[in-house]
Amino acid sequence: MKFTNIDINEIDIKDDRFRISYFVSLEDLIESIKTAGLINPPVLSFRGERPVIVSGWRRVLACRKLSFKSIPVFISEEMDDLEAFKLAVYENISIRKYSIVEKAEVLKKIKGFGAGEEEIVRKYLPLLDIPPLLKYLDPYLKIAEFELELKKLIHSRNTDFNVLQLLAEFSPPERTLLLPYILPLGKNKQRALVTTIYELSRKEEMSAADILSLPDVGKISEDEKLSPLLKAERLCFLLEAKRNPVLNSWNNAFDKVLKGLNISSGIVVTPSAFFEKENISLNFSFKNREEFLKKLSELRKIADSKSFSGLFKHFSDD
Amino acid sequence: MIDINNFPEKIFIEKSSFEYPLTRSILKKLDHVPFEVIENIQVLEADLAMSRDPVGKGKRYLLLTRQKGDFVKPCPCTPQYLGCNYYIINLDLNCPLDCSYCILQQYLASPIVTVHVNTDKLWVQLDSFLQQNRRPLRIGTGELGDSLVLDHLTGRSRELIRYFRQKRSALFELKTKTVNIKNVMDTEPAENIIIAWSLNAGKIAQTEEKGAPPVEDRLQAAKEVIKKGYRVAFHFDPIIRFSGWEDGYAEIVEKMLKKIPASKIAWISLGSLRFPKGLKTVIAERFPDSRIIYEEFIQGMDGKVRYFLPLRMELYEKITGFIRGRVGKKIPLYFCMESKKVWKKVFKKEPESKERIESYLSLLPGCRRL
Repeated sequence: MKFTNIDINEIDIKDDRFRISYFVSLEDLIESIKTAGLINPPVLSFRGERPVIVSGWRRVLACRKLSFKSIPVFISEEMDDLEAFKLAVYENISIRKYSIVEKAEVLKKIKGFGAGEEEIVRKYLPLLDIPPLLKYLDPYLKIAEFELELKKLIHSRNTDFNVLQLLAEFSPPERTLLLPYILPLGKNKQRALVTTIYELSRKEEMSAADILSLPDVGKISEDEKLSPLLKAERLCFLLEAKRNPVLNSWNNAFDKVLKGLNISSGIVVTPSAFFEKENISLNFSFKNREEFLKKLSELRKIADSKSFSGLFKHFSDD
Repeated sequence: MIDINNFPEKIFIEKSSFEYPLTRSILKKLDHVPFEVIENIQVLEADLAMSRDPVGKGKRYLLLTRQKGDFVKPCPCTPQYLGCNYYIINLDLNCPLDCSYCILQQYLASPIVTVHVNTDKLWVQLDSFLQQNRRPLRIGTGELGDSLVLDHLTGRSRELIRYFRQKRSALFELKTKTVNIKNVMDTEPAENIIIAWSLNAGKIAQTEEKGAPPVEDRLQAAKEVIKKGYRVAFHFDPIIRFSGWEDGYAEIVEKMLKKIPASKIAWISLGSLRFPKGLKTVIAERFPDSRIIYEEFIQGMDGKVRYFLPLRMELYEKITGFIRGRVGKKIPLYFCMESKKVWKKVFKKEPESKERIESYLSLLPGCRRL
């Protein structure tokens, strides 16, 4: 490895064959270089007449922003693309953890440079904190093919791997349609929504595009009063009901009976999870004996009302 | 696609298991199949790691090893639901058949079809177990693998039937989807030996049970063992909802009862599709054309995925109706891994405990009371 100074404009930044991260922020690095200078020189390697960046993309881009004329660099000895890329991977991994999109990019490139699947599985998957099983390679390679805008978003939001794995099952136009609904949600709800849409599409043999163009979905997306988050949540609720129509009807029936009982807000009545047990739970709080007796008297009235038995309708032995 | 006639592609023998008679006998029968003696199973795990379908690859290998733990165990059943006090003998693990819904794809640590060759220990453990449990009970081998699918290689059915013929308090069950009954047919039957078949609607057997014979062939095999003098049992498990399920199950029940006299059926179990949460991904990956995981499921009290209660009830009520409508209450029916509530609603009887179910199923006809 040769240490030298190089004219920054000589570096071929159009050749990004060894680049791992596309979604980088330069501000903090610019401040650091302004204060302390470029402490850690980038590594370059000649491809044809011009040097390309092996490692240190952010550093080169920050120095260009700062209008540096020349910068100190290491020029690697002649090595093939695979060797050079390995160097980039190892240097980066020693400083930070890769996001899922970056891991996908690393695996795609390392495969493209000719590394065999066995080498990737045994050496690079563990290096990237991925279990060393071939079946884990394919999902990452699919994520690497995602549209650039989508990759940028999932990189910045640290999206859950399971969500990405499912997104890979949709076509690029479908992914574009899904994005506005997925992004406002938290990780768990993202996963729930993508799973519901995927399963619904399999069950009903409809495409995601067909599902998202259903009239009741259209009503949600066209409602200008709703924020993106509310739209996404309404969509979750609506599609969940379509995915599980019987459970939805039982929940609605239970809620209807409860509504008819006019129970005061301090008393909560809930069925067992998914109605698996016949028990119904009752929860209320009280501050003193008087309040306790008041609640009991209300409960007594509820128990005497005609519609009370409706709560047990699904469990009746008749 | 698994072809069980070409099973296995390769045999692996754990070094310490090489000298067992069963190892020698299997190697002799499979002298055309390459084999490799390995120090330990880790070697195989590394091999499977390089497959996009480790489960499918494991189904093409045969591992001969020793059972290091207990052969005989209580059936684990599932928490929060009613068990039947069944006991299992863990002789062989995994199965070359490739049923989409099989929980073994995820349940066991290794996907390799495994035969435990140290059967000398089995008899000692069985003697001790039966000494300690002298009541009528049910015990069988078909829990972690098909009881007969490897029987042409292991000859286990012969030895087990001969053993249990002497232990009349235990009802011994061999549970299979295959028609691999040659050894069974060559062995003297006994009242306490039950040969059982898993049955399903024809469409499910055809699309979801790769490598398994058609249900009609299974019923023919059942008829043959009855002719030999055995009693049989049937397991409708997993019962699966699909478009036309009602007709599909009516048809198979009709075929079963037309071919098999009710008096020869020791019991019929019913269990609807259920599986650990993680299996859904395995099924989706390994069987992309299967639709069985896209029905309406909930997370049960045991954390497993199962059909929402009214959908299970509908399945059970219909199938019970098909059976009882034809033969009344002549055949004991029971649920596998269901709640007391389901028992009560479908059978109009709620068993007090799993011990009660055990005695209901393991006593002779006439002595039964749930």
